Parts: sequence; structure tokens; C-alpha cells
Amino acid sequence: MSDDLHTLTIAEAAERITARQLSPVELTDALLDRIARVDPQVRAYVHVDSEGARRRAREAEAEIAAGDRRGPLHGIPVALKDIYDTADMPTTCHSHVFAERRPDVDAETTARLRAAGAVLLGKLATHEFAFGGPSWDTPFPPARNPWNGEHFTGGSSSGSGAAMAAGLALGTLGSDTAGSIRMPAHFCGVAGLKPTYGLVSRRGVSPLAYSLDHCGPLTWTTRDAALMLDAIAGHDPADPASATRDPAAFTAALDGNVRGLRIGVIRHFYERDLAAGADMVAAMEAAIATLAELGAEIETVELSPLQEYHACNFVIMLGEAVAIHEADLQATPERYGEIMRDRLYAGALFSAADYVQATRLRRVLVEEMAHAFERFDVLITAGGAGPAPKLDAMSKFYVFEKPLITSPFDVAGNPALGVRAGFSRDGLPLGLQIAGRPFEDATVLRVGDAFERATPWPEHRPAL
Amino acid sequence: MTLEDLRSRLQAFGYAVDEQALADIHAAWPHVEAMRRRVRRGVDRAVEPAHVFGPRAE
Repeated sequence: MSDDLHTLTIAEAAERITARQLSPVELTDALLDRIARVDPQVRAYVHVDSEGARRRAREAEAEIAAGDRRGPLHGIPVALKDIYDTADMPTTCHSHVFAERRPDVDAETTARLRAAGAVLLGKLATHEFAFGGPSWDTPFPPARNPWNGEHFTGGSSSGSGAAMAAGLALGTLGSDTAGSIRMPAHFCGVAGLKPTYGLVSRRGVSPLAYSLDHCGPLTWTTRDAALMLDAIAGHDPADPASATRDPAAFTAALDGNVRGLRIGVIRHFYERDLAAGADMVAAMEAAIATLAELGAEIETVELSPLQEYHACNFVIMLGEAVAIHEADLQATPERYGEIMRDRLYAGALFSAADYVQATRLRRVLVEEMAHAFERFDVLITAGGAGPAPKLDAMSKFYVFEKPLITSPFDVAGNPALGVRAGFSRDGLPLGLQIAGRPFEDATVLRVGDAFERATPWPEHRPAL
Repeated sequence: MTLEDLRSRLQAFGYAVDEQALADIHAAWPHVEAMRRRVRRGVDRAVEPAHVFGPRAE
């Protein structure tokens, strides 16, 4: 049985732990054994804390045995993108710039996971500082797609997506500034939620762009994303962008019912603006049909071209990123990987006026999105243009060349969930995005959960 | 933007950029220019930035 423990969802493992059918120590040992066997080919982890994980698993087991069960994450092995500060592990941001960095305190999200009783297995690969990658001149190699190791995981939460697809953690956290949670979810065939901007604290998470950064979970199922969001959402006075409203009960909202829900399909993002491949378009048609069969009311909706959202996102992101890295880039450029360094150089060429124009356009696009949500409860679109490309086909400036279909919901700050919607002819995952009104993350999760229950895709696992 | 213009601008910002990087950034320049054009799509001049200053007077 222990050979299969890595395929448990958080919800399933929590149920077994509650019923005393599974011990956190047994579960953690199974995950650590699998990491030792499988991760050398996936490279999802940059640091594994076996000793600390086993110690925390024993503590969780003792607490649960004493009747002090903290909740569904108690005793659950999870891992963090290596931009989340951890007081007991290095936080390198996958960069020589921070190669020796060991934070003194946990990120707020790290602390909340620990308080919920989660067992931290280690730190996960990322594109350098959540932007530069996939790179071979950083301290660690890029993560590999578990469905086919020659292919890209998506980024920048590359290790989070790879770890979930390979069964190397039961839950992970990533970050999303232009799509860095949802792109790995799409390419690796897992669930990934970018919560509403401000819902989850960013304190202690290395910034890429202050006004666009979101922290959120990548998991095997939408239900597991809701369970993690229940643990990490909520006001943090130390994060200036943190929302003060009380978070919803996300898992409790998953009733499987989407009957009568109004769903707008942003077809032009993937059919015209991005010219997605035939497999992706077919997967979207099938997803739309599934949601209609579940009782949702489906209509097509038109927004500004994807290229405008992407330009707005990138000019703001690069302006803020250059401001963050300017001093290090001037003083020690050799400590950055080539991709990160050269993208920042290119970003430095935007002017102050460019930045302000982008923030003015952002206001217009936020209004446009809000207007669309007057007619619809959720909007859906493709998770990408097609399946994961080969790693060696990724150009240094690929993120400048084609618009990212994930970027509109970073610009507008709406919650957006990536879920698997099928597979390409080559057996690589394809994803669907579901976006909702600000702070209606629970509705987005409800749709994602209902969709997953109606499709066979969560049963498919990569052969490793 | 010529290669020499690019070199001068990056040097003025304090960046020591090697020739290969300059060539790569120069090749990507049309994409940067396209983004600069797109964020100027004729937004009314009364439209303020999305980031609003708060004086925190209380």
C-alpha cells in the first residue's frame, strides 16, 4: 500500500489520518522515499529537509494521537517554491545572487501552513527570481515535465507543477505574476489557483512585481487547492496589499453544483489572439460541452485583445522587477543567470512614462473585466496555446514574443484557476482556466471541482 | 533603435552588457516596441493610473 501513498490527494490522506488508518510518519516516509527515487529525473526539488520533515511528522502523529487535531492539513507533506522564506531551510530563489541566503523568519504563508500542522518536505525549483528560466546557468537545473522529461514544465513555479504531477508532495505553493501558477498547472496537468490579489499574504515571498504578485496553491485536485487556501488566506497587516475582509470557507463551497451558473467563454483569446493548436481548441470545446451538461449557461464574451492585457502586464512587471534588481544587476551581473539578466536589461529600456501608461491602461482593463462579470459568474478560456514545448525549444525572450493567456487575470487581480482539460495526441496535458469576480474565489473553486468530478482526467498519472 | 543606441542607453543606466546580450536584446527590441505602442492605445487623459496613492492621514 505504501507504494501508492504518493497518489493520495490531501482530502483522501486527511480522511485516512482522521480515521487513524494512516500515520503522518508513514505518509512522510513514503513521500521522502519517492523523492529519493524519482526526483533525480524530475528535478522538482532544490532542497529536501528529510530530517525536519520526519521530526514534524512525528510531532503531528503525537498531537493527533493525543486528540489535538488541527485540521485537514495536519500531518500532510507539502513543499514550497524556493521564493518562500523558511527559517529552517535555505531560500535561494534559484539564483547565485541568493545562493547562501537563509532567512531568519518564515513567510506568512509558510507560518500559516506550519500552524495548520503541515509537514514541510523541502523547497522547489523555480525560474530564477520567479522570472528567468528555464536556465542551465543557475545553481540548480530546470525541473522536467513528469509527463515527458524532454518537455518544459511551464514557469515560473516549475518545481511546484512538476512535484504535483510526479507525486512528490501532496500540496505545494507557487506564485503568479503573469501566469506562473497556471502555466505549470496547464503543462503539468495539475490544479493551480491564483487567488484574488490581496487574499493571500505575500510577506516573506521574494517579489517579482509588487502590484501583480499573487501567492497560491498547486495541487492534484481543486478540492486540495481549496483546503490549502482555507489555511493560508486572510489578512496580514505586514503585507501592504493584504485585503482586510474575512476569507470565505472555500472547501465548504464545493457542492458540485453549477446549474444555472452563467459562464462566459473568451474564445478570441485562444482562437484568434493566440491561435491555439487543434488539440487545445478541441479540449476547450469538450470542456464547454461538459459544463453545459452540468447545467451551466454558456455564452461567448469578447474582451480587449489578449496582446493588450499582456503588454499592460509586462510593462508593469518589468518596470517593478528592474526596480527590485537594479542595484544587484549593476554591481554583480555575473551572479544572475543569462535569461534573467538579459530580460531585466530589456525591461530597463521601458521609460517611466511607459510604466504610467501601462497602469492607466490597467485601470481601463480592470473596468472592462468588471463589466464582463456583470453578465457572467465566471469566465473561462484555454490554459495555453497547446501542450508543453520541448525544453530545448525555449528561447530567451519567448515571454516577450507571444502573449500569455494567463496575464489578463493578473492585470485585473481576479481569482483564476487552472485545471486539466484533457491531453494532446502526444499524451501531454492541456488545461482550462476558470476566472471569477474579485474575492469570489469560492465560486471559481466550485466550478473547477464540479468540472473535475465530471471528467476522467484526474485519474491519469504520468508513468515514472 | 540601433545597436549603438541600445549600448549607450544600457551603459547610461549603469549596466555593463556584453556583445552577445546586446545582440539578443536588439533582436527582441521589436517586441518591446510593440508593448510600448500597445500601452498607448488612446486612453482618455482623464484616466488615472490603477495604483492610487493613499495618504493614510488617520
